[in-house]
This record gives sequence, structure tokens and C-alpha cells, in this order.
Amino acid sequence: MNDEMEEIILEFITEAEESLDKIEPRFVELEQKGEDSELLNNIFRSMHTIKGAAGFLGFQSIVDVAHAAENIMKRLRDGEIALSKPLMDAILKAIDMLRLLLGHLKEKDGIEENVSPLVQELNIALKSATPKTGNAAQNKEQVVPSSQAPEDFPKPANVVQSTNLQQPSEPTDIPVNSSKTIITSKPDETPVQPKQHGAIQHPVKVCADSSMQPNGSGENDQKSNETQQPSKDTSQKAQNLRVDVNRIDKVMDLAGEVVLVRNRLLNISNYFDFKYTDDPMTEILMESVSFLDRITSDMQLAVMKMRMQPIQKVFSKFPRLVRDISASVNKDVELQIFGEGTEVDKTVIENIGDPMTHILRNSIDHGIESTEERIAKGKSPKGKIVVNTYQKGTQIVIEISDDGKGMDVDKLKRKAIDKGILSEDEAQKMSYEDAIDIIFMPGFSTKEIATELSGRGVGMDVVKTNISLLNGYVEVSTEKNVGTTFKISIPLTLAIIQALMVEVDGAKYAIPLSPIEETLKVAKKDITNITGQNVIVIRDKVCPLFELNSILGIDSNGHGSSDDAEYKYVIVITMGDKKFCLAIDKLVGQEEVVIKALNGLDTTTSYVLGATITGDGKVVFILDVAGMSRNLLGLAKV
Amino acid sequence: MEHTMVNDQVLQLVTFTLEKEEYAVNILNVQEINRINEITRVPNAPDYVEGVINLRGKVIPVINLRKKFGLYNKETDESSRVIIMDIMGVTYGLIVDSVSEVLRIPSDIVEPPPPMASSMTSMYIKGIAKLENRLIIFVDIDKLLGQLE
Repeated sequence: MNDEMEEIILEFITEAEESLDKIEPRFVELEQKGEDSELLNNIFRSMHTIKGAAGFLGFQSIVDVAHAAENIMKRLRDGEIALSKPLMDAILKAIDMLRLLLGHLKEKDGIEENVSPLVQELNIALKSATPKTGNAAQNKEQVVPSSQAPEDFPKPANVVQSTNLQQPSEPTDIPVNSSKTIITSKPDETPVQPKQHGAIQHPVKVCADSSMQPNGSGENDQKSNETQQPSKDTSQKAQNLRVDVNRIDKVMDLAGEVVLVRNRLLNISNYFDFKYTDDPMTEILMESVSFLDRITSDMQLAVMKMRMQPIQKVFSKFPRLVRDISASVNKDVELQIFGEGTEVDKTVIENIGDPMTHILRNSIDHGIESTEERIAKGKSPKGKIVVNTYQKGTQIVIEISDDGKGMDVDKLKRKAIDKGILSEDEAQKMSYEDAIDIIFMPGFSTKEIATELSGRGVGMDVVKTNISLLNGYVEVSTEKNVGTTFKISIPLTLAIIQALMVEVDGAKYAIPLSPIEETLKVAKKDITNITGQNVIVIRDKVCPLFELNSILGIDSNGHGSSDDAEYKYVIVITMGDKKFCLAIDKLVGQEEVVIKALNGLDTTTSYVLGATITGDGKVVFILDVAGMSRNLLGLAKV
Repeated sequence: MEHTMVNDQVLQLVTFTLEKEEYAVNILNVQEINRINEITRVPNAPDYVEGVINLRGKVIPVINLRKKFGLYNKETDESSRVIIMDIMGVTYGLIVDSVSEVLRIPSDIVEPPPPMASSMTSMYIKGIAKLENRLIIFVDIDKLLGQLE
């Protein structure tokens, strides 16, 4: 297979996946709103686009599945059959299968899925669907205006034209494929046959209608199919450029390099300024360097913005998720999403999906009560989950609230004791906030029996881990019978952060500035030891103190042994509602650092979230204080 | 890797020494060979992870092969080198005592490793190349570094 073909296939996969992403939330919306011809049409068109492109490229199983699903959509759209849950389930299954097939294509693993059972299922679902008699005609009328311009409707000429266009370009595959597709579905529904033909006609007509004329090339054909969204969508698209992520990352990397060089230049020019203060060239140097400084910051910001995407990309799969989960536990749950336009860094998009899925699962499975229970409590029978996203300073905040039963702190404690995660004694001393945090402990679950969704005791600890990987934190607030809110805070960008440079045992480390509350100079006599744990008292509050060098497992070999010093420098760190102190040797200063990924290194135990390169070319690790807070405070007795 | 061994007539290897033994890695994995410059230690890392270095703006982990192979530790000196290798897209550095030469050998003189008592190390050996009066240990770099992650 040559490169060009591969590129076309890749493009197809991307577009098909995007279409599927668009279909899913629409489906769930459809289920809520009832039959909405605009929505039906939209889904139908997306499905058809996938089918068309797959057929052209010769991916028969995709064609088969898409075709069967499309048949159902077509009849739904035309108001011939009524929307029902089995139908929806069947189509959603088809979407899952399409995703799977696309996944195989992408991986090039050559695995073939047997799609015939699913196709059969779809056909059976269609057959057993309740026909709609009375208002079918009326529905049909609704459909026509909502599709493209009505005068396009009777234009069979276009169909012939464009199928002809496709055929010569792939003479061997296409005719066989397309005829096969039609045959597979024919036997089941002979009476619908002409209608089916219409199904195929319709989007082709739209395609001819969109400003781009199909001109024979397969790629173009796909493109024009893709742009068949309402016109406002097309005009928006024209301003966007689809760029390979790797290219942007490359620019990002280079921008990072420039930042490092700038830092170095700043160091050098400061040195010259100090040494040759009177030399006129020094002034010129200082001027150019400060100019460079300014544009570098601007460039960095611009590149960073390039990587920002609306968080909607992640949220779009949630309506379907909530639907599936709530159906499987027999609960009625409504999902509301706000602020989905909020832009976040690509890395956040990639990593926030899993933790949010876990939280949503948890809310539906544990939070929201069954319908009967809700009615008994005088709540609305339908549970509600609200996802709200907004930017707060340099942080992105995502709040996930349910109106369920809330968490029972005593029950949490009891469970944790039963599971041996917590001792009776520890539970007694636990504050309210700490008790809520039990849910994030590995191996904890309150459900008696593990369900398919949750209850295996994995999940919520993953939430915490994933979010701290993003340098963010989760807070939980809950009120009995009112509901629970998870609040996730993540920094806007993960590429460049403000950090405090510190020194321990002669080695420099960077600590992200955002969780640092204050830095203190503490006299040694003010450090008290309580049951083996060092603590200091800050404004009447006891705060556990840890030595950074022992946390990092650095053997202190001589480098200005910190134990002799009369004073210690202490950094006070707040993670969510937890507070702890780190003792260090020296405070170096505040710096803007570029986070470099650490590839090929297992950092699970090293409390390191990345590295950076300082002005003098040295590698300095950026410490993962979230990880520290998680591990240390689990052990701390205070 | 396997593929090269079976089909190709000539293997190109970069040879290096550890202690008195001579080792080799496939040249296709070798990106460059550098002198050792400043290494930053990684907190709580296994001892054979010497640390990370700055390779033109990229932070890459450096493995001390002596420690990895369970040989006694020796301070790095003038002849010590870091072999920068690309293993499946991830870059690593390997600290070795010295780098000797690039060797072209017919692939059929590489024999499978003999069964050895110390299976710990023999795991990382792909084969032994027998030359006139020397034996070269062909290191299975994928296996060696694959374990680190």
C-alpha cells in the first residue's frame, strides 16, 4: 500500500471517528427529546458519510454495519417507525462496533470482527420495530424542510453522476462492494427496497449541493461529504487548519528550547552587566536580551494556545456513558453539561477522560438513589448530575455534582475498618475531610457486591492518581441527602510552570509554585517530635514536617549536613484540604520552568513529575508534591 | 533484531568493554557516543539508574551497565563513555568502561548464548560472537531496557 493511500485511509479513520463522536451525544439527546427530525437527519448523514467513505476504500465490514444502522435511521427519519429503546440500543451497539473496526484499521492489526451477528441484530431490531401509522405522513413533511434545500430532493441525476465518479477510480472494489451491501439487507425488508434506495440518494444529493463539486478524486469526495453539515458549520471550518499534533508538539518543544536559551542569555547578560557596567555594548546587550525575553514569553503563550482545545472533546462521550450506566443500574439520570467550550491543554484532554468517567460512574452507582427511594425522599424522580467547567485564574476547575444521597462519613469509616485499610483508632481521630478522602484509598469500595460498573475497589484511587499526574487535585464536598460534588482543579497548561527552586544535599529541585502556601525559616528548637513524626506549629496549627532528602531517598553524604544548622527552611504545601511541610537546605529562587517529559524512566516511586533544564544546562527534577501528599499523609499520624 | 540475525549476511556492531569482557550492541540502535557529563540523580530510583543527562535539551535516563550486570562498581574515568541508544522510540544512555570499535561480522558466527548459571545476566545476552581470538557478548538491548519501564 503506498503512502498516499495510507494517508487517505488515515484521514478516513480520523473523520469517521469524529463523526461517531458527534453521533453519540446526539443520540442521547434524541432519546431525551423524543423524535427530532433535525437530530435524526444529522445522525443519518454522519452514518452515511462513514458508509460511503468506507465503501470507497473497500472496508466491507464497516459498510455492512453502517448500512444496517443507516437503514434504521432512514426509517426513523422518515417517520415510518417509532423510536424505541431496543432500536436505540441496537444502533449504539453498531456505533461501538464501528469504533472497534476503526480501531483495528488504525492499529493495522489485521483482526477481522465478525459483524454478521450484529448486522442481523440490527435488521431484526428494524423488523420488530413498531411501525408508526397515523402521523407518518406528517413527520415526513417535517423532515423535508429541515434537510437541505427542498428543491434538491428530486435529483436522481446526481446520484448516477457521483456513483459513476467513484467507479472508475477504484474499478475492482467498488462495484462488488456496493452491490453486496444492498444484497445483504434486501432479503429482510423487501417492501422497503425503493425507500432504501432513497436512503442512499439523499446524502449524495447533499454532497452535490455543498459548494464543493465532487471531482472524481476519492479524497475530495470524502471531504465534501464531511462538510455537509449546516452552512454555519462550514464557514467555521474554513478558518481552521487541521495540523498534525506532532508538528505542534515539535514547535512547542522548540519554543521550550528557546526559553532555555533565553534563561541562559539572561544569566550571561546579568554577568556582563555586573562586570562591564560602563561599557556601552553592555547596555545594548541588555536591551536585546530583554526584548528577546519579552517575545519569547509571547511566543510561548501563542504556541501554548495552539495546543488548547475545547474540553467538549472529552465531554461529548459523557451523555452516552451516563445513559448506559444509568440504564444498567436501573436509575433515571439526567446529565447537564456547562462550560464545555472552556479550552484546556491537549494533555488535559487526553488524561481527564478516565478520572471523570470514574467519578460519573461513582455518582450514578453510589450517589444517585433509585427512583423509588427518590420519590420516598420527596426528590424529583429523575436524578441529576451537573458537570460545570470554568477557568479560575490559571486553573481549570471541573465540578461534577450529583443530587444523590451524599456520603455517610460514619459508614465510610466503618467500611474502611472492615476492609483493614484503617484501624479503629485511626478512624476515631480522623477529621471529617479525611474521612471523605477514604474513598480515594486504594482497595476501598462501599458496595457489598461488586457490580459490573464499580465496587471492585478500583476507580476512585485512579481518579486521584490521574489528576495528580496532571498536577491538579480533587476536592470532595458532600451533604447527606443533598448530594456530592467533586471539584477537580488542574493548571491551564502543563508545559511551563512557575516553580520554586530549592536545594537539598547539594542537589537542586523545582517545586511547582501553585501548591506552595508559604516558606518559613524555622528554628530547630521549634520542631517537635510526636510519636515519631516531626511537626511544627504554624499559627496555632500543627503541621507534619518531612525532610525532603529522606523522602527522595538521597543519602546525605557531607554536603553541608543540614542537621547541624540551627535553622531550617521549610516550605508549607497545601494540596486540597491537606497541609504539610517540607524541610530543605536552601531556597534558591523562583523560576519559570519548561517541563520536559521523562521517557524510559519509571517515576512511580520517585516523586518526580518531570524534569527541566536550567540556565546553566543542568537537569533539575520537578517534584510531584501531590504524590508526596498522597503517600506521606497516608502514613502520618497527625 | 531477530530478523537481521537470520537474514542478513553482515552484522554491524558497536563494541564496548565492561571489566575485561567485550560486549556489543547493534549499530542500528546506537545514536551517538558521548563523554560523560553532568548526571542528575533520580530520587528513589534503582541503583543501576545512574540518573538523567541533558542531551541537547532532551532529558534522557542513563543506565550504569556495570551495576545492571552486577559487576562491582567503578568510578567513571577518562575512557568511560555514554552510548546513546534509541530503543523503540525511547532514548537511553548506557555507561560503559570504554567504546572500542565498529565491527562488521558475518551473522552466522553469532551463536546462541550457552546455558549459564547466572540466568539473571544471561537473559540479556542475545548471542556470542566468536572471532579469531576473542569472544564478544552480543547484548539484547530490547530486553535489557524493556524491563526498565
